[in-house]
Amino acid sequence: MRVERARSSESETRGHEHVEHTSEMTLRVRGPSFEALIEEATRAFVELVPERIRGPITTEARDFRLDAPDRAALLVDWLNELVYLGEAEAWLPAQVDVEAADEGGVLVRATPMRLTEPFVLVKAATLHGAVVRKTERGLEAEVTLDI
Amino acid sequence: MKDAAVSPTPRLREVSKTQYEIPREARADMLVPARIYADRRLLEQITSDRSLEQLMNVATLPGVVDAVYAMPDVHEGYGFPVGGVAAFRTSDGIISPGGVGYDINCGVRLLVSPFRARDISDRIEAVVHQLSRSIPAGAGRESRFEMSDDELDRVFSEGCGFLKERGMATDHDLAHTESGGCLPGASPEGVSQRARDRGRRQLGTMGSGNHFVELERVDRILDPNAAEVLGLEEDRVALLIHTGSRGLGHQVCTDYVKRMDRAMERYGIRLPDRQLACAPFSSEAGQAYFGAMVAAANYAWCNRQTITHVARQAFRQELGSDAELTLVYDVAHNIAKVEEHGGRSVCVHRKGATRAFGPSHPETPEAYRGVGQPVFIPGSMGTGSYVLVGRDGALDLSFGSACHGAGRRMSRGQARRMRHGREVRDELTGRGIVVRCPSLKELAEEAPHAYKDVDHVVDIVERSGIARKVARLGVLGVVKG
Repeated sequence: MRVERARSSESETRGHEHVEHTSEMTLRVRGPSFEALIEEATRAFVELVPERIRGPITTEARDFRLDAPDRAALLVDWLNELVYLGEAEAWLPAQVDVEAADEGGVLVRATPMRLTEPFVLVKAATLHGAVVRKTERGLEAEVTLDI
Repeated sequence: MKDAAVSPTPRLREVSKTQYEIPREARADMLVPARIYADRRLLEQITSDRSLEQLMNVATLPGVVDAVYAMPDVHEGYGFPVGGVAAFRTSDGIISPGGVGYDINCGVRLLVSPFRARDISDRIEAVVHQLSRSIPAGAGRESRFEMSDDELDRVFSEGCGFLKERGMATDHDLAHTESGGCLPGASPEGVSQRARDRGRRQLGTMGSGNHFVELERVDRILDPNAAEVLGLEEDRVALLIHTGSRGLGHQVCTDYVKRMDRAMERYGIRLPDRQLACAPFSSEAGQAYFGAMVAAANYAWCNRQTITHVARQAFRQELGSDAELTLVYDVAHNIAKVEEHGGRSVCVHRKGATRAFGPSHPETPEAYRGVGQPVFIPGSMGTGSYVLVGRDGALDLSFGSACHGAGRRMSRGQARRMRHGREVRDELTGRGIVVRCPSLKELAEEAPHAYKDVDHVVDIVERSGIARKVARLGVLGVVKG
């Protein structure tokens, strides 16, 4: 395996990688909690957006409530929310704050970054190999994107 | 970024020089064998990723019949491999959104012009330029045909017939499009608001990735009789269009994978890969997906037809009022269709596989009954493409299915690392190919070295008896998504 790009903010307990396959890409994220995984996955997704279409950050936050039968599905659902927002509404979160909610759900407050055109690179986040697992330092997750 | 690891190669039995089999007994949960159309050289490439493991997973799904098939361009997908074919009984088998893929009814159409390349060589660049100006391509480029909800509903239900009413399609176009450009059984109400939001401004757009519009020249005729029936002759200028249902189809797939994933327990189906989420074809969820998929498929045919309409305008603008583009055929390569095979009604899933019916099949267009249904196999950018026709024997070999392209052999990142987009562009330009691509990065990702050898892939299809070669096309100009 060859590392093409590493985030400067990466630490042993928190960070993300983009792992490429023949026709797709897996986001591998790690963090001390599930909420941190969602934040890292958001950063990893937004990194795919070309600089040239990144617009201003607005102050009006948007709130989301996510529910799913398990954490892997919840992470996939959130990434699919980002796919939709980037393509249909031309914005993506510049920052997210994530809180645990009842019955395993999460609340996400997103600070929007406008895009100068829709972001259509990613078709979808898939359940293919989607996993959230415990590690010695916290949690790690993988979600494959169809691009 | 990193490149992924691969799993061990499963046990393979050589059936012939172009076919290998993984026996049903290879894994306890397989219900049918898995058959791979390849020779030793292609098999080496195929076994470098997880595509055969994925094919074996498909062989475990309820109601699967006969065998599951991998075409010579097969490569790893998500759930189903890309280049995979499987059929499931409609009575007690499943339907799976992952078996169709996110780009529902991604497909290819070929149009032929009245011109010889040598007669318009000084106009090629202008034509390609006009095509690139007229057809929105790449990330973010939106359509000039924004659709209301009512109009979208008509696209979903009526397919290309709706565009004919608007003067954007002809009777000839409909007769030369798979299923007449409209599959029956669409459920517009099953297409979510999100899918509509994504598709509303994308009709007539190419999208990004491996989608393209290419100006071609017929380089070589390989079957003169069939070529004549298809209207092809050497040096003739043609247009090849490759795109699908865009964000609308992607969202339909996302919506129904999610719905079926949540319903799996209810149906008592156990899966080796969650992305294979499925439901019995006859169940409420199965029928809901089928209706929404049909709607997205009809949208995709309208997308390629709208691009055709715009391309015709571009041709007339650059080459005069008699510059007609005649549709040879339009064929899907990501779709699930109800067909009769071996006296049974089955739902055939073709994911990255092209329908290839022979001359005797009733669904082969009347004009092509003597030769077989046209099959188009685009090569990688700049390496040429093939026109084939299906053979009657394909029904027994692969449920009447052929490959859909050269097939990727490396990740996009690997392709970029090997060659810069500028280098790729300069090489193509140096060979006289006009290139219009919004991004050098995408040009590098779709460069010839990222794909298998199309000549070799098509050769396996022909030697297997699935389809026979009619003509080879060379590229004059390419507009990339």
